[in-house]
Amino acid sequence: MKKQIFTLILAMITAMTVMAQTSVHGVVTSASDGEPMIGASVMVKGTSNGAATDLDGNYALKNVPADATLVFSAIGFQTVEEKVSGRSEINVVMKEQSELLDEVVVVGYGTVKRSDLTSSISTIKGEKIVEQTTGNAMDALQGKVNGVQIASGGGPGTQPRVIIRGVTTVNGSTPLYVVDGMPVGTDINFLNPGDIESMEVLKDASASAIYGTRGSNGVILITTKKGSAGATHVSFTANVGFQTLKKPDMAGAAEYEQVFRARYANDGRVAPWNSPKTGYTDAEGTDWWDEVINKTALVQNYQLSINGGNEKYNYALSMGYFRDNSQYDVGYWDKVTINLNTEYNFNKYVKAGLQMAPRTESWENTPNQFGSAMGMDPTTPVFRPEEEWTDNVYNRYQRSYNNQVWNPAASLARPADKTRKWGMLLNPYIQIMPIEGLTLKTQFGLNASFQRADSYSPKFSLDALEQATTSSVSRQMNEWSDWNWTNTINYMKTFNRVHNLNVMAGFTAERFNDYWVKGYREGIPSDNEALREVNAGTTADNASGSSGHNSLVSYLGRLMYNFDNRYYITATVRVDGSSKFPKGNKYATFPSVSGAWRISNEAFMKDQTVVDNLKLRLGWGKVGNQAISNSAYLTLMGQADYVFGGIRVPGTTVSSVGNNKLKWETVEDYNIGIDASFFNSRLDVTLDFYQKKSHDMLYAKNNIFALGYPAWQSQVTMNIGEMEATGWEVGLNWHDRVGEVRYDIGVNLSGVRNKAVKLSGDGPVYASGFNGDQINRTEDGGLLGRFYGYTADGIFQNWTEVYAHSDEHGNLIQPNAQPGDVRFLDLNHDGTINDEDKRYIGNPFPDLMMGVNLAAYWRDWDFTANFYGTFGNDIFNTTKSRYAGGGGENVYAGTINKAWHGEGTSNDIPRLTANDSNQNYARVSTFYVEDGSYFRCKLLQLGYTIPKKLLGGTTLRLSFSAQNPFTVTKYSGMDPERPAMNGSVLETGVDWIAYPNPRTFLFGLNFNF
Amino acid sequence: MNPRRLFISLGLLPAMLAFTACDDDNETSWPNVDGGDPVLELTTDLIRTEPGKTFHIKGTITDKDGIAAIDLDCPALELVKTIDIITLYEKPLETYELDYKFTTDKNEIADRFTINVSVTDVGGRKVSKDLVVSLDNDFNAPTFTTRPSDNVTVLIKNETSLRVKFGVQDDKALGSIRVEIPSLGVSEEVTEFNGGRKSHEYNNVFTVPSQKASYAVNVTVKDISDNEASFTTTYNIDEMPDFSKMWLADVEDAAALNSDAFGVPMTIWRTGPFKYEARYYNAKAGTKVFFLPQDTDFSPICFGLDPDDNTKLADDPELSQPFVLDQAGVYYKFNLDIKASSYTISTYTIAESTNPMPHTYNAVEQDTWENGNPDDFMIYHIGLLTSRPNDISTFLEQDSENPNILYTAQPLAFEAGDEFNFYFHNQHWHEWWDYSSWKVNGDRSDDSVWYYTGKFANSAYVWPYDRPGNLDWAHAKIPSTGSYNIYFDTHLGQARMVKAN
Repeated sequence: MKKQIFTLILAMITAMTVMAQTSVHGVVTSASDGEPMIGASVMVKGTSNGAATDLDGNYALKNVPADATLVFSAIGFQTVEEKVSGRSEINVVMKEQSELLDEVVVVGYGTVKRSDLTSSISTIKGEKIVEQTTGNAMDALQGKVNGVQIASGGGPGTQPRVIIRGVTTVNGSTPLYVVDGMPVGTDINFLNPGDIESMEVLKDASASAIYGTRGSNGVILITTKKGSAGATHVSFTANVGFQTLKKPDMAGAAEYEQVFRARYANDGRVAPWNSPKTGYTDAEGTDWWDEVINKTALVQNYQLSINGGNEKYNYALSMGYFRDNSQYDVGYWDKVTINLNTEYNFNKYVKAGLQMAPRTESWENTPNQFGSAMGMDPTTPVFRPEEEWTDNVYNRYQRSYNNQVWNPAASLARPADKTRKWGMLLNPYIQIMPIEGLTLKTQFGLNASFQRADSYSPKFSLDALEQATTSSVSRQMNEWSDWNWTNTINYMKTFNRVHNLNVMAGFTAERFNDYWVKGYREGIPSDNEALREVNAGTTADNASGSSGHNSLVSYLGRLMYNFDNRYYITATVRVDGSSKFPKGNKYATFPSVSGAWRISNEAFMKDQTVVDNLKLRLGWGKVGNQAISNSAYLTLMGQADYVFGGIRVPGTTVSSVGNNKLKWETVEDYNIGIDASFFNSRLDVTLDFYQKKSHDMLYAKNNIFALGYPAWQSQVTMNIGEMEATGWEVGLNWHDRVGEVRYDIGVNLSGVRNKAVKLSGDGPVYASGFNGDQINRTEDGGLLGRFYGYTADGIFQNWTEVYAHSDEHGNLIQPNAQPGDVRFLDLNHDGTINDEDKRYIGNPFPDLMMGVNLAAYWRDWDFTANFYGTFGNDIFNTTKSRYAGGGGENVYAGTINKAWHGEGTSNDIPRLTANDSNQNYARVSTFYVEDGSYFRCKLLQLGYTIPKKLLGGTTLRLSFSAQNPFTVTKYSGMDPERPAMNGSVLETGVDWIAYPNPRTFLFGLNFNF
Repeated sequence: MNPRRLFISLGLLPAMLAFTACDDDNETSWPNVDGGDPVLELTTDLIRTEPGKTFHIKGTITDKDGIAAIDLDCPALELVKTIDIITLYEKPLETYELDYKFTTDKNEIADRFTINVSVTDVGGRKVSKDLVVSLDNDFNAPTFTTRPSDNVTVLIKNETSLRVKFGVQDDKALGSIRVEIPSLGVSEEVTEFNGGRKSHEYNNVFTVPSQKASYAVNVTVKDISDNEASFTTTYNIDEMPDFSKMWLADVEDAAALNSDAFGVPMTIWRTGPFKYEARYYNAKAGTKVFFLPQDTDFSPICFGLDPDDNTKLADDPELSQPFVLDQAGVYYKFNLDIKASSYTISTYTIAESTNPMPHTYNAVEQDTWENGNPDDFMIYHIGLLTSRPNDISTFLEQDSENPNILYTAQPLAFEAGDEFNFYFHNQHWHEWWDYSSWKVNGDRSDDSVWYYTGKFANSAYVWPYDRPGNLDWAHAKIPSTGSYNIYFDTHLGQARMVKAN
């Protein structure tokens, strides 16, 4: 697009009539490759006199005053100004924009030049974010920001999991999002990615300590688009496409029946076959996936933006609409967003700005019927015979003949819960600059939203185990209203040309409020849509509601100093006082210090040409975490009725146990990094090593039962844990051009080890229940959330192998086993398979995360390809139990042959059995653990911009995109990326069959004029 | 962090990414001491056993260099085992007492196998010996398929006789049956068997004086390998006694009385001296029932209709006629007076019956916290509780005709001799014990009467009989391998576990 704008400018320039006094000519070349620059603009500063370079980089200007200044510019290159000073030949070498170390970077409560950074901050520009069409801007960061692990899932409104530089707490891993200075919590689904100018990811504590209490998981600063002086610019973007899901290959009715019978026959039992006939063919069965999952789902995104302004006033207005349909007939998420940013300069001392961003979101809950669609009995028809139908349309569906899976078509037919949310972000500020370098700013932000959630469950009955004996209706109203008042004073001054000082001090106050109320009734007389109101219910009146508040006051300061742009030091401090902690512990201080040595600015580096920039960074800081309930330090009383002799008696009891010694969770962070550029800034390299360690981690510890608190209230929040994340990041970016093709190649590599140094002292922490056991285990000194279970050592092929699996005295280690069952290793040689034989059998966190980003530009064409992958992580694939047919559920196609059915037929999938007396599928074992490594193409995009001259001054870009078009992986489940989103950080990596990432194909167009 | 360490690390990074670490093989070698062969001494070179039995391979192994592994090899027996001493003990052993047991296939038809036992020491030296296993042994004693109780009452008649009746079988062949009644001078030996060599039904009558007396009858059975089984039953010749217990039998023969895991025959209630009350749900017309003072046989006393006067009771199993229940789908109520030989009989409908269940079966009516919160409601259904109320493995279906009756939808497979404790309980996510439960008399003298002990109950339900104070889990023992069904009448508090058809 830039190239097209440039070409347009070129045309304008050549059409100009130029007045000249003297003639100047010369050659413009590129610094990166020494090649002539074609079409570079050469203007006489302050006039409209100009020219463009030809194919050989030559230019010629007439009527140039001898004391004039020439301005050389080109898209993607740093603008160069040269005084003519009477010369007639001026040759210029232009450097690419990527070399611009003077780029401004947003940091907490201020901005700095990138060259002045002493901490680890990554920036991603808005144009990179909108390359992907997604409802959540964080999806677009995947693979583009080093050290940030992002796992996405499919389904409307799904929020990706974002982990910045590993995990150091059990209290949520999501970073803090700050939109234009207003902390908005941990959810930015409401934000239109198209409104984002840039995002800064504050990765180390020396960057995020200025956010104190909430900085331990990193901070993401989002700057929305502002207007600028110049002509009004209008842009309209539309992206419309469809999503598809890969259909799992499930057995048809014929194989299902075979497998069903084989499971019982292999146990010497008669199969309790309940289908009305035997000998099914696939054609006689139901393809449940096709019945409930649509082949395509529509996704659409539109945005209209207008911006412009003058020296006094600028504005940027955008309106966006996004809608994502689920792959079912029901389930969607849409949002309408408006963002207005205005700034007004009253005079050279006073400036004010206002951001108004109203929004509305609505969604219909997307059901999770993938498991049911896969497991439902394919001999069961969707509907009962018509002659059995009653007036209740929800009863017309057929109950599964042979298992307990609820009919997914019936589930989808019942009304889904619907929610409507309205919100507004209001963010005005006033800025005063009384003297040069001194800026005083006050900003008051309000983020409020209101939500109405309606639910209606009809009465229905397919049979005794698939029914609702009464209808119910509920409505819940929520209100969130948060405000933030930020006051800062900033002073910048350079002394004696080499002492550069930047000082900031501030005070902030924040309050977060939430209110909710819910009404519920049962016994609605009719399913008529008009009666889906709480007032229509006739029984079981129930109302509930509550409110919550917490607040924060903070004092903050930052000192930045550098000597001669060579030696940098930054120190920050934030003192936070939070209502979440008891008296005496409400306040905590979070300091940080970082320094940098810009080696490339040293005299001894002047004479070399290989290294353009080399900076060594060192940082240390402390950040906090307060992601606990508002009342964790209070002991509360609550309602707890009890039953005496069959009669319910109202009662009151201790509902939660407080801790009046509670204090802040602190994360201490060390970072060392190098930023470097080589070969005329064609190669940029960033290296970072870091270690983060939490102290006094807030942890819900089990109370001693002797205290008498009931089991379900037996936890108290304490400061007892420590966790540690140690990692590295390598970023490599290469920019170059070959002939007319300009290209960028970026590779981001990172790795992190997350360790629980110390947990509650109550022993290992288990998570992810599975058949009465637990999958994930975390213990003191060990890595987080690893899979813990038995080691499966193939399949017993014959009785000889079963008998040989004995202790030294012939006692069978698996006395219930028979050929075709899984052999579990007796690792402690005690002759039995028990808990002592469990080991760590998998790690859900990757050893390596890699992003590869490619871009190429040729004439009016542009091409983008983004890839992201994780390597070395494991997935506990519960979907492998789909080979078992447990409970009569359907199986993967081919199970009848894949499952062991004779010596040598399988060494992985055990025999079919209804009893599973060997617990082949019941145990947590390596049988379920698979390599979860994957390398996914996140985006392929081809764009073509129709030249402006063909459209009368309008630029039109057409594009075709494919999101998630292919994935390289050995993982056998539906999506290797999705399990990393599941559960908390201690229970992640388990594939429970959730909505996978869809393939999305989109057509886009973008008008600009 | 040390910058030097950082730069070294950065330099090594490509190598870190490109290569994976290789572990050393870490093979440990063990030195020779005398370089001699292992010494293997088996306790025997012939083991006699039989199919389905366990035998032990025993011996002593010594080797000064250290024993590394012992191999037992007999593919025909499906025995191929390596005892890896170094893995098990993390070092070689100088001496090792071999004691390895192996169970032969119960269907094995070959009668002789050779097991090669070999020992390898740490130097790789190996010695081996053969061990012969012969399957011609006979370990199993005969078993009684039916037998009288330890104490049997025989009523005094004009001509009083004592009937000795039992069944016996043997897995190989029966050798002899001896019946002795010392006080009558009877000593009878049977060597010809009416069930071939494998089984025999003994049924003989001995005349005794018509006066009160006790006769001990000793029965001894031997198989051809002289494995022996015996029992002694005391026959008490007496007037009609006031039995403390009585049972209702709705099956046809004594074998059916003994093939259940519990509940057949079913207990009836003693309401006074010589007086008993029985309630029975008749599922199908034409059911025949008797009343018995012993639970293993219809002999020697069996109360039924007097063939000469069907308003009276008869007690002689040879004469008594069954009560034939011709109304299906109703409850029968019997009142017996065995002294007066009288009875009354009446019926009542299912609608007139009540059971203690507090909720509709299989309906989502169980409020798990009793707080009215719809999220806390769950389905109400009953199952066999063997561990905890939230972990009930076998649920019972409700009979479509009689909602009082719950049953297993699918038969349960068991092996002979399996034992388990259980009681009936509703499923409850939050483990509310005894929310709704049925247990048996704590002395476990009879597992077929189930008393409701739940805290929640249908208010219309009334239990008409005395309830013992000590209620406990029931104990079931499976008499023979096969599939069983459980039927539980929640109105009567009667359950039975019988072989599936």
